[in-house]
Amino acid sequence: MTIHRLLYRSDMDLVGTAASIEQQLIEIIRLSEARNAVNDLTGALLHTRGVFIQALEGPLPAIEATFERICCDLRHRRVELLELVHAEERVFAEWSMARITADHAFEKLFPCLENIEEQHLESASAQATIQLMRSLLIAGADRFPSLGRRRAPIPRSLELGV
Amino acid sequence: MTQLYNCVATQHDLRLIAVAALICALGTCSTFAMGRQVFRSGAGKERLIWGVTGVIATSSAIWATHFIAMLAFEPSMPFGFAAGRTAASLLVAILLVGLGTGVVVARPSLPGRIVGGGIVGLAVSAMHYTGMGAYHVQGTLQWESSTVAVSISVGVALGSLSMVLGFSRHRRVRNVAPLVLLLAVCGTHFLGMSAVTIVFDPSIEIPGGSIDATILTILTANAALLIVGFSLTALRLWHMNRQRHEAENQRLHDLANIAVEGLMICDGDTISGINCSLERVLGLSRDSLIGAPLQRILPDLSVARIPLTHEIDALLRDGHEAEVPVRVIAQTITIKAKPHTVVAVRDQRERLRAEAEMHRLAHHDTLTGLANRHQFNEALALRFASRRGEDATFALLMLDLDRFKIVNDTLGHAMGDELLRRVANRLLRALRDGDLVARLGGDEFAILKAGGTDLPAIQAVAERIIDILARPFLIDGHILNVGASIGIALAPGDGETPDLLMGNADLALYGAKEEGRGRYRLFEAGMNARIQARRTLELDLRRAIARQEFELYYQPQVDARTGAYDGAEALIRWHHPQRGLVSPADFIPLAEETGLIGVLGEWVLRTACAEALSWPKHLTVAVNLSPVQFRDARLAVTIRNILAETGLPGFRLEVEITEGSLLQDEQRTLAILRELRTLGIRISMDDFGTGYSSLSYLRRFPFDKIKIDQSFVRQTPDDKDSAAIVRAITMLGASLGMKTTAEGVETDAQSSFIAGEGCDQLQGYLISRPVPADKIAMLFSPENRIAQTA
Repeated sequence: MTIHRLLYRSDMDLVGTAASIEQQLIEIIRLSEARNAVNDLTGALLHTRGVFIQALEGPLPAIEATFERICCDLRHRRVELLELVHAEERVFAEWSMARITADHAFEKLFPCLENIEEQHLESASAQATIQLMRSLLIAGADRFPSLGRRRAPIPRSLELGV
Repeated sequence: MTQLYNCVATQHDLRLIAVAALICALGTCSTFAMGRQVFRSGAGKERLIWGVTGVIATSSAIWATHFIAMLAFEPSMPFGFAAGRTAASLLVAILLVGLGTGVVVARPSLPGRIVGGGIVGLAVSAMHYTGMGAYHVQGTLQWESSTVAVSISVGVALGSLSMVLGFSRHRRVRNVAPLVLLLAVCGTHFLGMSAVTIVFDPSIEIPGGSIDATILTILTANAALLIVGFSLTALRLWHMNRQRHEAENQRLHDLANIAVEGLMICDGDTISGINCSLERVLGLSRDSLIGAPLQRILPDLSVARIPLTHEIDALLRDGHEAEVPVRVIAQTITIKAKPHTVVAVRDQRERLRAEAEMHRLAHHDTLTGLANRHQFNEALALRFASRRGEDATFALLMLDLDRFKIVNDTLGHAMGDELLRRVANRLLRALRDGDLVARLGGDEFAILKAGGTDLPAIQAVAERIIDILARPFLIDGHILNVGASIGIALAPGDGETPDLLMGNADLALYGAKEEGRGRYRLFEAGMNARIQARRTLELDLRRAIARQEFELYYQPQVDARTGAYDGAEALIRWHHPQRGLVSPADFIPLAEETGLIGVLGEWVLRTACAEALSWPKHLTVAVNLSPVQFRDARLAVTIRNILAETGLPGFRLEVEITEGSLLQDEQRTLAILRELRTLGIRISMDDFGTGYSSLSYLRRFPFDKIKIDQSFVRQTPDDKDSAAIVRAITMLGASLGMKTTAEGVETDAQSSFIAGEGCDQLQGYLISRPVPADKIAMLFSPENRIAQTA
């Protein structure tokens, strides 16, 4: 079966205190893990400074349905599709939806954190972003070896303070 | 037994005995037929009639059997009967048979039947010996008392047995009963006769008044036959009648059951029958309803309140206590001489469902499930009609998609439909419950926003919609970026009537589109004037075609190396009687939008071809074709006809197309281009470098010429990027075997740079501005050419 990978960015439009936003984020991740596990999707979600960067990989119909749901979701603003490509293999095969929380030091590593209007993100840049997300995940997993790297039968998230 | 045999065989006339036996058999058959009839009948009166008929038929048969048998008896001496006692014997038979059968009817149990049957057997003996008392013969009768006792016993026993068998549960056993009773009668008679010995005594005289035996016998036989016959006939008729009734009832029953509507028969307010249809509707069985009050299934209704003339609406309560909407109508009928009411119950659920579906279809857009134009107009009219106080202000948003047409044209209607469904879904997400979203047609949507005209709130909604529709749609691997523009009008300020408000929201939408799409505009009073001006221009444009206010100018193209003329590009000019010269930039988009470009384009082609004829034979004329012209599949035919009419050879015509033509329906455009190519016409790609996928088009169609857009040419040679682009395009053209033309060449520096890069052709102010037809003809005249090359 052919695999596609989608990368998008959006502005986070969550309302509430820091604690409540954190709670909402946990809820979003939990739901998307459950859905993705059912739909054979894997991926990672990075959020920092009010921006989401999410990678989704799996069968094209499932990606399309999931992305349409994201586009209908008003908790996202200014959704921008960075890349939709056919992929040889999954980059995030181990995670239904891994969560990455990047700190300021790492922010500048992500070229697509800024909303660059009317300018297509080059595929090299999208590739770089995805590889960076993966590196962060693996580094985190190495730091917490107990989490393991095999894809668990039960969807679970990895909380990484990088 | 010998005595009995001798009695029957030797002392009797066997033929008459056969007649007696026949009557007796008929009589005993009638006894049981009537008896069963008594048990079958319900009403008392009817039972009595059948009972009396049976008693009379049985007694008269017994009686007749006796007298005919007596006639068969041959005592070899004169004999006769006493009339009084003969009649008395019949009466005895009737009374005792009546008593016996009465006992059987009253006590149909086994003991009752034994006793009753015994009495009937006794009746036979009593009748026989009373009858013997009426027998007068010239001699004395000597009785052998033991045989008499046997005859009585046999009668009683067989009588009992016949009644026991006659009302048995088994049909075969029942069929034996008449025979047993026959044996009882005959046994009693002949045993009785064998018990008597007549001693001739000539001294005895037969008393006067005695009836002649033969006459009596014939009379009794006939009378008995008549009675028995009548009774059996009556029984037969009754049976036929009953069968007919039953068949009729069954037919009515069947008819009621195949009826689609529910039927119920009521006796007063009590249900006495229902058909299958009603059973189905109710989910209740017939048995559970018969005898129940009407209100059990039709609460709040009584038979008296159901009209006979028209249907009324009612609620039926079914077996699950659910209410079913029905219509009912009543009709009175007479059943068994009693007035009943038939209530017809028509289930309305299917009709109501169909009506609701029709209503939904009439008010909704089937593709998206949103309200349709019809419902939207109704809602808007209602808002205007009912607005009071707070409600007086509301916002109307008109929305259309920015790039829907391209999706629909290039990816097909199925994709377009799916896109519209998703757009509808996203719109619903961006709005609140109180807002009405409608699809007015095509990619045109309208939103009736509830909750006043608080500007920030309305702008927030508009921004939300613009954002949510600007997000990509991924459908079947295609990434569709359609985007939307919105025009907003606020009631009542921007329009006192639905039409005005919608018109102004449309104007605002138009304004948003003009400003560059993907945005919203609020209606402003000034918009109207601008739109008005546009409409006037459109009207003028239509008139201009008729009045021939157009003229073609030509800008020459020269060989970059030799400087010799290669031909000229035809450019349209509009001399407006009031406005003066109108720029093509102002009226060509309008002509494309309104479809006038078709007529205009044809005029340009015809004129250019006709005017180019006067030029030297090697010079070409280039004509621009609009993308809109390619939507007409007959474009190639039109051009061929024009060439034929004007006589211009195909190789002298060059058509210039832009990327836009290939964007809409590439296959159709390419097919047209191939057809033009067969006419010898050359094809150029205009404005090359400004689009974003030009390269791929170059691969798909072998253009004759690429025209480098003037925006690059003007910046050469100083701007490094532009110089690089010009160089790249020239090299690309050379490698693909296509000529390159640089447009907008204005300076010598540009000319020498571009020529130096290997570009084939130059066009621009440096060579000549666009000039009228007569000027270009002069420019192209041989003398001028010599002057130029010199």
